[in-house]
Amino acid sequence: MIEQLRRDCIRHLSPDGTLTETGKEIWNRLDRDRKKNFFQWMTLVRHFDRRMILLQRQGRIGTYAPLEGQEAAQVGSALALQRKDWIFPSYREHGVAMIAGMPLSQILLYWMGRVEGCKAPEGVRIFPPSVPIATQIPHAVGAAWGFKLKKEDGVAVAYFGDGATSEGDFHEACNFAGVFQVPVILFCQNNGYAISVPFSRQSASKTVAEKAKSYDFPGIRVDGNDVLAVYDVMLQAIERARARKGPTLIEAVTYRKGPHTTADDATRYRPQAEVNEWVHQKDPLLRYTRLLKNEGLLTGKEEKEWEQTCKEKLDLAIIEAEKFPPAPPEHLFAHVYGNLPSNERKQRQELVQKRDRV
Amino acid sequence: MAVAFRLPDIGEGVHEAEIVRWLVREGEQVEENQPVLEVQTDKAVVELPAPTGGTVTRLNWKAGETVSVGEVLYVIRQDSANKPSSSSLARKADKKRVLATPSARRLAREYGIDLSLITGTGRHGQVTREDVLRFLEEKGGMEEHRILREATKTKEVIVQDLTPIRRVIGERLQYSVITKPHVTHFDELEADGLVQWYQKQKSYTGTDGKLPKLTYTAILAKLVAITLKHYPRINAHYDEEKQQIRKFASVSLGIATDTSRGLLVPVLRKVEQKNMNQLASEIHTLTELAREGELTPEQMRGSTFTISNAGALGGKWATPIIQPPEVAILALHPVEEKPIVQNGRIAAGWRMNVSLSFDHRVLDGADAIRFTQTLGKYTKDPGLLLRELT
Repeated sequence: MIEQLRRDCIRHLSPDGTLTETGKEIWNRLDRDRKKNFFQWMTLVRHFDRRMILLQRQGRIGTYAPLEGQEAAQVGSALALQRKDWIFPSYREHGVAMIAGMPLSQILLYWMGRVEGCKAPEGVRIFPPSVPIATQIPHAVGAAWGFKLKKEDGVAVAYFGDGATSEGDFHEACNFAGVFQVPVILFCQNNGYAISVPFSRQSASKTVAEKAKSYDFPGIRVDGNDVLAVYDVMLQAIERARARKGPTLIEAVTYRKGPHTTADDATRYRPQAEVNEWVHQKDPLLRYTRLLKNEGLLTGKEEKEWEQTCKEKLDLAIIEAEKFPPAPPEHLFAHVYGNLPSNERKQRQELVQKRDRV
Repeated sequence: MAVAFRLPDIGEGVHEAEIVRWLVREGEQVEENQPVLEVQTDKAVVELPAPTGGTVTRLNWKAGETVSVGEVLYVIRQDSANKPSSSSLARKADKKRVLATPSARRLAREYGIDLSLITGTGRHGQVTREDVLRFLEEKGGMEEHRILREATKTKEVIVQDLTPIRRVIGERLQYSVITKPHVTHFDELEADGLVQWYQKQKSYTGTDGKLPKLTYTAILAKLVAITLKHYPRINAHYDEEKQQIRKFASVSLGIATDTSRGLLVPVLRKVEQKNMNQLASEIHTLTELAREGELTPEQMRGSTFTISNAGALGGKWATPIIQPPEVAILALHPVEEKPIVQNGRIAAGWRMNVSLSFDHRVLDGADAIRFTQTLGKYTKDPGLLLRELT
């Protein structure tokens, strides 16, 4: 019984598209635009993701980290944030980046290996994706500490996966956040696998959320495929942070439908029955679309129209990203050192000479 | 406009992929993002979608071929109006691409089964791994495997995995043979002096009886080291990447040793600086360790030239395989009394065959001949060594 409670998730929307008791309350408080927003963003994110995989298979972008299945966790949490808040994402947070205000073409540029894809436009408060696992979590805690010292009411959010909770950086960040009571939200999308390693092989704790107890701040477990629950939990955590009540750890329990990246084969490490259950029965977009249709807020025609709009948005973004002038080869040397060491200077010179000869 | 589709790096740092199968034929219309072929990398099987709509005018490769990243896989001619006509849509529906899980595809491929022959029981009629297994059982596709299993049971065939050490040996040999252009030079060396000297020395253990017994291997190790000093290009490593030769001042001699676990090569260091007594006792220790399986990795690392003394086993000639990154290896064959022609008459004389394999990128036949001939001078008259004393 205790075990069960400990592992229970907050849920407002059941997989069949019906609202729970708590869900009905939340639903009544939401305005019509917000309700449609969830659907529109989740659909765009999914279309973006599928298109990116096609582009990767055509050699038009580099290795890509697919997110299909995690749309609700990303859209629900990101829509609860405001422009003044800072976001520190990992490499799978394309949905969060879009909502934060990152143009689609720039997200594409990042996956084309372009440094221009890292720099957010003025006023968009999101860091470049952190590929080394968990390194962005202390950054977020630092930014939150900054808000506190400057007496601003901004919030910093670190996005990371279940694998990151096995890293020292996660624990150091939690410890600091707890001691200094900074306005940070540690948002973990637990998709069950650190590449191929199941969560049960990474941690003796049964959940990510319970780890917060050691640092004496709340840890909340939420159904990560329920966009309403994620949004609600995130709002509460943000409210706590703005009210100077300290950090919150959120564990959004979700599943990635595809491989870790376009370079691996997930069928080698995940049982097919498990994949089927998540993909066919717990899909976040499907359950929300059912709800909207039941509530009379979405027709099949509107759904098709929005999908077409998404396709056009993506077509435009791809054209824009692909017409970006190619990077000069010297870019290889441009962004690591302030002053190039002599051997690198020599290599750059050789490269430029070779290019000029061609 | 024609678009050439090149094999992209679909993994992280993938260099090549095998064509699993084509999903379209030459002359067929495709839509943008329609899968055109399946390829397999070392990590996964993936479908490659068309970058644009149009007519596929050329398929450059056949299923089963391995293609490097960057090669043109196929060509699409973009039609003026790139909209799929109703007829092409009809054709597409006709083609019936079989739905199957990746594991089912892999299994079907392993057994060479056409997926369209299998009835899928998965979602939307998707063929699952279980479906393929059932099909195999029904059609007797497992026959070959069954026969092998039976034969194994009755001990007619014994199936054994390579031991880890054999696997490492195997990989190194394969690498060497594939990358190094090997040439082997055979020579017959006069060995009368060597035999006489050895006979005199072999039972001598010093005035106090503490000196180790000399062996042919110890004497030959010394003679080889002295010879290598005259030919530093042979006591060398070849750096494949930089295409550089690294010549070594000191000789670290690999001693190929036959053990029950396989061929091991402990390394005798600074051979040119040590006397034969030292060499004899070190070789004795190293070969014992090798046979007991107690050599440390350090004791098997860093040789600059290798000898393989098959003298005790027999044989006439061999084509030894070079240990990379070395550039040559010398096999020593039994010292034997042979009929030889001297001044028109047949007489008995001591001879030793040697086989020297060398990397032809670094050395030429002439280098090899000069090397074995010089070694031959020493085996004919070990007294020449006195001249080398410093």
